[in-house]
Amino acid sequence: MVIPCSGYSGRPTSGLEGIEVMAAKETQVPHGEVFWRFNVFHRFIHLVMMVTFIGLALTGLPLKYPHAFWAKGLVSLWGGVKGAGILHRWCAGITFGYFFLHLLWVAYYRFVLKGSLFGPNSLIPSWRDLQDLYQHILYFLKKAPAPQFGRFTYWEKFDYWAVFWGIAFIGGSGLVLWFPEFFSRFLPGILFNIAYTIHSDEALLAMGFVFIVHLYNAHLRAGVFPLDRSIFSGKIDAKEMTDRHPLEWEDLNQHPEKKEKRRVRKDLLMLFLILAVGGLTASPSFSRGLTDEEIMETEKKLCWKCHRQPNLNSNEGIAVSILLCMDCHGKKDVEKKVDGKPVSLFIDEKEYAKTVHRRIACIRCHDGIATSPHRTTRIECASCHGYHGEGTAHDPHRRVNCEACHHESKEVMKDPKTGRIVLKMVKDGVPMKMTSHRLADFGNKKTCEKCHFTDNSLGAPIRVLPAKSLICIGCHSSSVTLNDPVSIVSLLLFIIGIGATFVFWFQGTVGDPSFSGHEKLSYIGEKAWQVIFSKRIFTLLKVFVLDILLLRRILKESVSRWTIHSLIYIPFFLRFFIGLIFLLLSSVFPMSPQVALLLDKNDPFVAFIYDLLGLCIIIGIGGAIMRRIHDKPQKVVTGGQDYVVLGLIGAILLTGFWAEGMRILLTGIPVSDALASFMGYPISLLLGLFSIRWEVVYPYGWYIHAILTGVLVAYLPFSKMFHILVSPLVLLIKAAGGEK
Amino acid sequence: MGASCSRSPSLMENLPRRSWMIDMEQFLSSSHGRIACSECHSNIEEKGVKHPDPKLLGRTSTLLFDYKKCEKCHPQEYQRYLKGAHAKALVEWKKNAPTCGNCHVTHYVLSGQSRVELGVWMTEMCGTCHPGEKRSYLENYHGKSAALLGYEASAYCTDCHGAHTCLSLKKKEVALEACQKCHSNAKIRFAEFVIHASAEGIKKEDVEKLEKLKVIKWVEIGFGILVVAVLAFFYGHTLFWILRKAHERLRRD
Repeated sequence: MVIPCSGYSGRPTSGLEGIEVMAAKETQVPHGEVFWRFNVFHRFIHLVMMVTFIGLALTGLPLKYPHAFWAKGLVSLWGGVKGAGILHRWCAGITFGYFFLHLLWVAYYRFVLKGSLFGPNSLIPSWRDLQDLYQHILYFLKKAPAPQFGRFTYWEKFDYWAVFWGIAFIGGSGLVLWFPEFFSRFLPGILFNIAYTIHSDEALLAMGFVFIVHLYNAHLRAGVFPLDRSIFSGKIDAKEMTDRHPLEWEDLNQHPEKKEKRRVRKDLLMLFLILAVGGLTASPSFSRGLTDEEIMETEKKLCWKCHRQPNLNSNEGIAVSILLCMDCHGKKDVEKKVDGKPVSLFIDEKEYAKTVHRRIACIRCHDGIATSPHRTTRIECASCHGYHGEGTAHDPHRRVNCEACHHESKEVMKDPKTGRIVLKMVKDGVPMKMTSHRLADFGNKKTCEKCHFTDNSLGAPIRVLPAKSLICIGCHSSSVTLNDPVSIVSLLLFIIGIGATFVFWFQGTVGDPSFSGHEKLSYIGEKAWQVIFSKRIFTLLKVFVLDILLLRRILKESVSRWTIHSLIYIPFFLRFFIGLIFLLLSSVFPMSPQVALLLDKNDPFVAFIYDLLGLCIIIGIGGAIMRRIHDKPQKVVTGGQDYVVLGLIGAILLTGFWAEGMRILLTGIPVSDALASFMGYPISLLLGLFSIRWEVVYPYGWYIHAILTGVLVAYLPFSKMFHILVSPLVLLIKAAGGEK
Repeated sequence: MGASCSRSPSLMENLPRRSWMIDMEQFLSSSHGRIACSECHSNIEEKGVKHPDPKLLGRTSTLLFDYKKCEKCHPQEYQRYLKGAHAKALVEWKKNAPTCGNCHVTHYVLSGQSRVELGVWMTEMCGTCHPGEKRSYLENYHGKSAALLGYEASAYCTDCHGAHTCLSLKKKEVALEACQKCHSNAKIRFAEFVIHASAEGIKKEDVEKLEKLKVIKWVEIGFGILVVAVLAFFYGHTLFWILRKAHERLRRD
């Protein structure tokens, strides 16, 4: 099996190339002609291999030579042994990935393209390679002329197979060491010793070979020094080919067809951008590792039964447990009341550190104290747990105390002072806290129904609404989830629409009318490669900012059109951008109260910005409709469809503000907080004038808003609105092709 | 599990100022710094017990100190020690068997050491009597990452052999329990892994381990030859190539 580096194949189309062929035939003098040597797929794999190989070497070496003076320094560069291990495994995963991709390509080449695995272009070693090696050695010793090489020299073939078997051996043994528990189920334990030896020795061989022999043979040898560009550009010119691969040059001259196939032609550039949707994980929520029975077995329970216990036999564990107690008891105002008299519970940390007991954990002696409830009301949930993101709780829940949902107690109320939702159970004048640890079962919706039921007095909507999903990401800092039918169906239609469009486009001509599927892919990859690794990437960036973000072309056309366009599109873009940043922040810093504040739509800054941007869109939509009714410029030709889309966006905005008004009214946030929502708050006042039970209406209003959004998302690929995605793409492709 | 510790000269050399002289400054800043001498050395004050003869200087202090005194403050550790392999040696070797003081530098023991600090110290300490095991541990992933590169999640001696118990892990079933502390999904074959892959101090009766070591050794030799052969051939290839090209260039000029 193996490796047809057939190169990207272009085919002659115009008469011009024919003339070139004739010219080349006449002279046979190689100048100016350029041929393909490596196709974009092989170059890509080589680049990835280069990066991951160096990564593997730099993360693995400290473990191989831990005594070396550089080992500790190098390992600290990766954040310690753990970090080095993680990076090493990432690089290994990518290595397995490209190895598998390469095998797929070989299979595709052999069975679909019906390519040959043997012959002059093959990487399979042959008798001739041994002869070449022998003659090359004789040449080193001045006993023979240098051998003439074909497309792949014997050392190039050795390089290829060294990597092939290297990955099989090092990768295989690495897998065994990565998952020892799994492999020891059916293989003897001594395998780890063997895998360890193989992994370490073969890796040394690979590094010793690649960094010296491969580097010299491929790049540093005389005649090539300092760099053989062909593995990065994919191209080799005729001069280089006659020097380095004379037999290949001869072969190409004998077969003009082959030569044409390998010739680099100048085409119009066309480029597809592949958008990868990153798998953002929703921010972690409160841990729910325990069953109800476990928690409620007894109310008073050792903390360490559920929470991670510090190892009190280790110095760290002792220090941690002392620190934990000192968090409160190190403060001077800690006291309890005995017979009405205050008794200080303060421990002077400095004095304590002088005692014999300073290295003994507090709970060693006070062993009953590490229980729940501890005699305190200080400890808040959020001092250990993270905050809820949108995926778990909506913004109205920002005003709901943790225990209102998580405590098994059934009754909740609105605190008249703060307006927060708290537990009704009151003990000694203090509402119950989470520290009593009677956690509710979240397996069913009963906890939600504490508030969300018909005729509730809290102003909660009568139905539990799903979390904002992926389709809401355009305007809200939503979660990356798909839990409700509206989101699933609309996103599915959206993906089908986009997919169908791209498949339809792909069936058209890409590069050359005769191209097959893989040739088109390879063509697109080729062009993308050429743009990404060239100065043209800066032109692309310029086009992105001026033409795509700032709509320069439309401004040139008409100022009024640009104003209306910008009023609709820029606020959308900004809300998307802001939401995305919040989402990223909440994934990276799930425990941060500052980030939790940003996710709160009642936060004055966020509320004001969101309302302002929403208002801009409404004005823009109004302007667009007015323009279509009054001015009727020639440009506006797609009348009917425009009204549908403009109407949809307008309706989404209006229902959005309506829902915001209802939310502010129902959650009853203080006026000082609500004022920043300069659209939502007046609407809430207006709604308050009607004696309608808005908590009943709210779920319907919310769903109308959501369904309208779903319709827009699903309709997008089939309507004129598709230009939102396509125009930037076309502009970028044109810019990449050098068009002005 | 070989040599008697008390006869090992390196133990004395490795420890800081292990003599009859007590460095008061160091002692006072140690963990035991606020404990009166008589708390541990009370038998000296007891009737009928003579103060040790200074002529015994140079012999290990543990011969004179009653390790049972440690139980008073460290009952858990003491009980573990009694269950372990070192305590079994008490029966066999009597006074030559390792007790508390052989491993712990009682007068200067520092508190608040990190896991890594303790682990590195422990590797040296255990290695004074078990040099072969120390060497093979440091060639193993655990030793390399834990003791040499300071990775605290990796295993030090006592993480497998048990603190104060010092268990022998020759039996697979016993070893598996130690493995499962970190590799919770490990099954019995997992424990077949030879951690201390060194024939040093292995008794001839331990046929199974010697067989395994033979296999490991042959794999090491085989791959060693492969590495050396391939690199030697291609380094030579490259060297001759460079020489030939240099020669050509010089001739041309």
